[in-house]
Amino acid sequence: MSPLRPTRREFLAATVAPFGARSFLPSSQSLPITPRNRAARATTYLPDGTAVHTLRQLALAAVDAAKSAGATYADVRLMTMRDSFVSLGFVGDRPTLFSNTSSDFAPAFFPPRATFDVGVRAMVGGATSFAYSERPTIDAVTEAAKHATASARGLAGHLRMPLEMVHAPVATGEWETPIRIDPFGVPLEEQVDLLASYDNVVRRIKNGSVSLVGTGFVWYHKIVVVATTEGTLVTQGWRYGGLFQRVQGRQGVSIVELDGGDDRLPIRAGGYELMLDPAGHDRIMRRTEEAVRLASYPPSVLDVGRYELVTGGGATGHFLGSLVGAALESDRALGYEAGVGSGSYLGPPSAVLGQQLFSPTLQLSSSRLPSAPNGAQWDYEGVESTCTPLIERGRIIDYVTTRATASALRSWYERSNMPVQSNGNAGIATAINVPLPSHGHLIMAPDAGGPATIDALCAGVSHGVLLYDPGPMSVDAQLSSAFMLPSALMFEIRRGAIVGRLMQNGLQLRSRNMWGRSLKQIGGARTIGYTFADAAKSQLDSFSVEAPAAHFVDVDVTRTGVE
Amino acid sequence: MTEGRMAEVGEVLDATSPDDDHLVLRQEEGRALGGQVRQVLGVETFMMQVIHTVRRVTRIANGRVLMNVDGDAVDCYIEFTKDRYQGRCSLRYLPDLPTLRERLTMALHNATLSPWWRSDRLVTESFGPQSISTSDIWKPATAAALREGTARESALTPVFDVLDASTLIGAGFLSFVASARYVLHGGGLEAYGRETDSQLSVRAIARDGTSSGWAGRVARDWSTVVPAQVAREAVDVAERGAHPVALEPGRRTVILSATAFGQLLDTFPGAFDARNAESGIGVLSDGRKSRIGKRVMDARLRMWSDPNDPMGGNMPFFGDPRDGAQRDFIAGFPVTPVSLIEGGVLRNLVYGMGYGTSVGKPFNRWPFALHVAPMPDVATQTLDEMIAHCPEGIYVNRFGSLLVTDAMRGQVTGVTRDGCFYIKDGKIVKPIKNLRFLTSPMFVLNQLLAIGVPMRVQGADSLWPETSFPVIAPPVMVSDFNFIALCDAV
Repeated sequence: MSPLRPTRREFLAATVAPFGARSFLPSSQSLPITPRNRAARATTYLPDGTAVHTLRQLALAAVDAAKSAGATYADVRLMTMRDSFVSLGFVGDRPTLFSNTSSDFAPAFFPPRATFDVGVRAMVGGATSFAYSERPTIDAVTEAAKHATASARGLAGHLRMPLEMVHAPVATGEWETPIRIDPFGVPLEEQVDLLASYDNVVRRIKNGSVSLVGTGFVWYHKIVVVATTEGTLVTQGWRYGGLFQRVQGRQGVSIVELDGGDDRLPIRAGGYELMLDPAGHDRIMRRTEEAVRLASYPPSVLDVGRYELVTGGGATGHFLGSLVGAALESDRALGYEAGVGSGSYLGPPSAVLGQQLFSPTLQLSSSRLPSAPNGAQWDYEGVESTCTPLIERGRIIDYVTTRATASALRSWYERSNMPVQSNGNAGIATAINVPLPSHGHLIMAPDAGGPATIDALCAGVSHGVLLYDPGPMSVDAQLSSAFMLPSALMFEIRRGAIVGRLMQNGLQLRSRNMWGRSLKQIGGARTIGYTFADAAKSQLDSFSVEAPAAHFVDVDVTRTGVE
Repeated sequence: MTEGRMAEVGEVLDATSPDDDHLVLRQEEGRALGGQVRQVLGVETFMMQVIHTVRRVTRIANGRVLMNVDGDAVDCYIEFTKDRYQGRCSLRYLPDLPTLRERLTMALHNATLSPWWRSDRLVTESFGPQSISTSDIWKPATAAALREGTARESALTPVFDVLDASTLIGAGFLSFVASARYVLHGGGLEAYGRETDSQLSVRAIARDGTSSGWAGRVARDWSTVVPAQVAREAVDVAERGAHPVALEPGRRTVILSATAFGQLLDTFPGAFDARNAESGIGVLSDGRKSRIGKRVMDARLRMWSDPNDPMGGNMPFFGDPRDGAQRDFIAGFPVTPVSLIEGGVLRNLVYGMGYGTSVGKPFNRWPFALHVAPMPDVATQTLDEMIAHCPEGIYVNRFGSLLVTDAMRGQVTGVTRDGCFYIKDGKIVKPIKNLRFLTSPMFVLNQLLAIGVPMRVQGADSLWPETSFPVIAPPVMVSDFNFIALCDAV
């Protein structure tokens, strides 16, 4: 596949990886929607999923098997996932950078699938072991439980340090994302008609177009059961989905591509009602006009040096998630990830907690509450979800933890009169992964009296850079520095106004400096943007971030040369 | 390079020895399932592929076993043509006959609702009778390590012992994998193969967090790995790296360990894609057409890919989950050895099925195991000899955070890590802080000063070790390597 033309698979991998969508991607290929199947619904194609009461029975059978095999503690996660994906996609043979004829696009959908995974973690003598299966039978789950227990027993005699699972209250109950319209029951025809109306909005804008990845809806229904030997048994259902669409603006050879969908997150909790927002068409039109406007700036190049930098809310969130949020994962900070090459400059916790390492204007918290974009009642260890303050006035006060990592913070918690317990941030991508500390939704507080627009932030810049849409970053293993590629959507600012588009400059960032002395000003609530940040661990989904626009000083701007 | 063996049709392709104890799918099981598929569908236009993978992955840090994952996964995929409709069916386990019948009936029902794109691969292109043998990548010692489980404890104990004897803290990664793959086409093609793999890496870190060292081994045959030696190497690098000093970035001579050079090369195989190169895209193109027949790198180098490579190898037929784009190959089609570079000259490109067919070339798609080595008549140097011949330079033990910054130019950035030393007058004189680089593997391949003896190297530690292909690379000395910034990370 040409590097010039991302496939829908690549686009989805980049945009819907949060929320556990990875399992959807590997073997799906699109089908055309024809008169024969227009009236069909996703449910027409779906194999029957495993019933919830069966999931609970399987979970309890696995817990019993681990206990009978001698586990001192065991927990089980079972996950089923259904998905549906409808799109208007590019069907031509020749990849081009720009296309604006509706005949190049045709309705299609990915055959929906239902998956099942189960993972069992068993503990014996301070050693834990994990086994998984993808078969929804009593035999398979009990076999996994026995295997995990036997492996833990085998390892128990070889430890130098036991692993401690901190206490958690027993939890029982059910929770599900509230929805009004089940997207799996909406006829393909209706969805295609709505998608076509979104595309038509874009095509009505002069020099606007839809990117070749097309326009589509993606829907998920995930059910997870967590059970432990302590008696916890919780069942949760997540419903989420949304519109993916990249709109393009063109001026001559200059093309700018932006997300056309929601102002918040392209994928978020809810049902088909998310797509019936009457403001949706206006929003897409504004985004397309914005892309056209941004494409009109002439190319420009900055000399290597230090400049002021203004970031939109989404770009602030991108940096914040990758360089601060991920660094506050307790396993990284404790060195638990060192074997696979990951660490954190915000570690060890004993040297960091209580220290003011960042600007006093920085306030950060992480939420897994049901009100968060991908929140729920409990985390993947069955611990009640919380909103955890992590940084207060630039001072590190906590990490995201799990039952397996919280005990390492005991002395800090006791000194701070905080309970020694998990703050409910155990995450997994699928049930075949061991739970690890992860953010649900990372929140940076805006400045209540801060500038209300990005333009207002730019107004104070004599010569600098506006980062509109961040590009890929190479982040070092401790997250202490990053190099952002010139493929980012960046503009040169002179005397408060955009004068050109930067296409050969990258950014060299140092995490502590950036969020410390470089952070000059934070935007107000109206500048908040949303994005997803890469968790950089294969066992975890990306997490969502909301952050205001921001103004930094003394940021290193580089130029990439050609060898 | 060696030729893969073509077995007689119906022959047992890869007989399991008695001690293999049914660790992974046997050929007879695949064949029996294929018979059921044929019976249920009642047609010969089908393709079935079953992949069975067993893995044990263990991660340790600070004296704890942090994660021990035992997995056993089956991926069964069937596609067929019946009554002009094409159906596809995917299962995560070996189905019994009623389940198989139910799922295939559903797949056919779905197919009648919507035919596949015409441009999609047609199963009616399935191949006629031929049988493909496995290459020699199944090693009993690794299979035994998976089956017995105690190999994990036996490996970790010496690692813990070495770390305990040092003043360092340590972390490690250990994995064993066995996999079997069976492919059957309704037309008669049958392929079966098994492979094992293992890897151990240890990272030792100074208690003050100022230095670290890493060593790793990846081997088809676990019996060739000595865990204590791996741990000792990591500890040695970390101890020698204590109290590093900052060195100005810039263009410098570097000596890259085989691992570091292999990591750079791991970003390179995409350049061999014929569709891109012949369309004027990428470093193996002159902007209009491919540079086939031209010298593209140091004349002392050669590169090839061979399923039967004794140092790595891969399954001798397509149908690998690592292939990614399933539309670009036919499962079960034989993979043949391919010479890519000889004496620095580009000899061959790799063709996907669609593009290869359209330009009349036999398709071979990506090289799997990439082997980079000096030409047979080139004198090699050991790492010590390279250091002795280096007036001033930097030794790089490993890279991290690699990212392709420009696919068209093959430009890559990343950071040195776990051992970076300053060399002066033929000796390592002091450890230095890590540096970020920006370069192109193509530039490196044209700036070689010395080449060592190749070894199989380890890329990233992964919970899914079978998702990376073997890379075999030598250590090299390179001039004018482009370091662009200091990096605070250890």
